[in-house]
Amino acid sequence: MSSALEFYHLFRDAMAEHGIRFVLTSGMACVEYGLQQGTKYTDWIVDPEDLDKLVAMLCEFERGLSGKNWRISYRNLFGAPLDARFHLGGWTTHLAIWDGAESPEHHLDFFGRPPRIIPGTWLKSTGHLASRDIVARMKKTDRAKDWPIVNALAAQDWFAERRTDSLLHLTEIQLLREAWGSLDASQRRKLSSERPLLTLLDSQDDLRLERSLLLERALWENVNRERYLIYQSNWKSFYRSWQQDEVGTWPSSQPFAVQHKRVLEASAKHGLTPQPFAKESLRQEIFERGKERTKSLIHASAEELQSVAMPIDIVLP
Amino acid sequence: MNIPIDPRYPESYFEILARDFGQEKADWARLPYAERMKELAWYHAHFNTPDDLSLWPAELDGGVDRP
Repeated sequence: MSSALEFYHLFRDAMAEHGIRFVLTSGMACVEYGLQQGTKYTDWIVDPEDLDKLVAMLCEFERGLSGKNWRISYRNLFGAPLDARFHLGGWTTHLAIWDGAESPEHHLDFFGRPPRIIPGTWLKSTGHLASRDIVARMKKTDRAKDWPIVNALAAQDWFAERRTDSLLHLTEIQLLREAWGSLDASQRRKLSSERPLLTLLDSQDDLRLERSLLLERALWENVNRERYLIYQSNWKSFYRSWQQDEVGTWPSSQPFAVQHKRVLEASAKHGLTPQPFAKESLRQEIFERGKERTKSLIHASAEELQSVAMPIDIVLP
Repeated sequence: MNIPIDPRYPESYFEILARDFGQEKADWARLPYAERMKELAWYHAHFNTPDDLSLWPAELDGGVDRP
C-alpha cells in the first residue's frame, strides 16, 4: 500500500522500466514545479504508440502471484478505452488503482493527444516531467482556477530562465511589458504569430490591455468548451446505447484485462467514434462557435476579437 | 526524472503567488523541494483533497460544473 506521492513515484518508475514514453502533467506536475495543488491523483501524457505496452503492464501488475496483485479498474467517467485509435483522436482514459489491501483509491488520467498540444511536442520535455510550457497549454481550460496556474508557470519560466515562450502564457501586464521590451523584432514576430495579443503591448494602456487579456482568455475558454461538448455528446450517445443493450454496472468488478476487452468491444459495437475531429470542417466549426460565444459574452466587436484571436492550429491543433 | 532544481525567484514572483493562491501556498513555494514534498505528504495523509471528493477528474478538460 502506498501513499499518493509514493504511488505516483512507483507508477512513474514502472512505466519507465517498461519502456513507455510518457510525462507527468497537470496538477501533480504543478506540485513538482512548486505550485501547490490540492491533488492526489496523477495525469500522464503517454505516446499513443506505447499504450499497448501500458495495457500489458497493467495486466501484468494485476496478476496475483506472478504480478503485484494490484486491483485496477476503469472509472465511471466519460472517457475512452486505453487504446491508440481513441487516444490519437484526443480521447482520455481514467483508471483507479489499489496497490494493496488497505490502499487508497489512486486515480490516474491518461492523455495520448492532449488538448492544445501540437502532437509530439511534449516528447521534447526532459525526463518524465512535462515542461512548464506544455502544462501551461493544457491548463488553458474553462475552469477559472486554472488561469492563475498558467500565469505562474510562465512567470517561473521567465524569472528562472528568461524563456521567451513564457510570453505565450503570461497574463501579468507589467511582466509582459518587461519581457516584450527585451525581445528583438524576429522574436516578436515569431511569438505574436502564435499570440496576436502581444502586438497590442506597444499600443494599449494597462486598462485596455486588461480587457484584451480578458477577451483572449474567454476565447480559450469557449473554444475549449465547444471542443469538450463534442466528446461529451459522443460518449453519452455511446453509453446510452451500450446501457440499453447490455452494460449493467460499469465499471464492473472484473479484472482490468476483462474490462478492457469489454469496453473495446462495446466501443466498436455501440459507436464510440475514435476520432471525433476527423473532419476538418468540424474543427473550423468549433473554432467559429467559440468565437461567436466569446463575442456575445464579452460584448466584443469582430475587430476586437480578431486582434487577440490565436490561430486555429494553436487552439485546436 | 528531472526534479526541478529550485530556482531562485525574485520577491515579485512570490507576491504573485500570494495574490493568486494565498499566503500559505506562497510560503510553501519558498521551501526547498524535499521539504515541500514532505509537507504535502502530511497534508495528503490527514486531509481529503478536492479530487478525493469529486467524481470528475479536475483535468478532464475543464468545466465549471466539474470542480
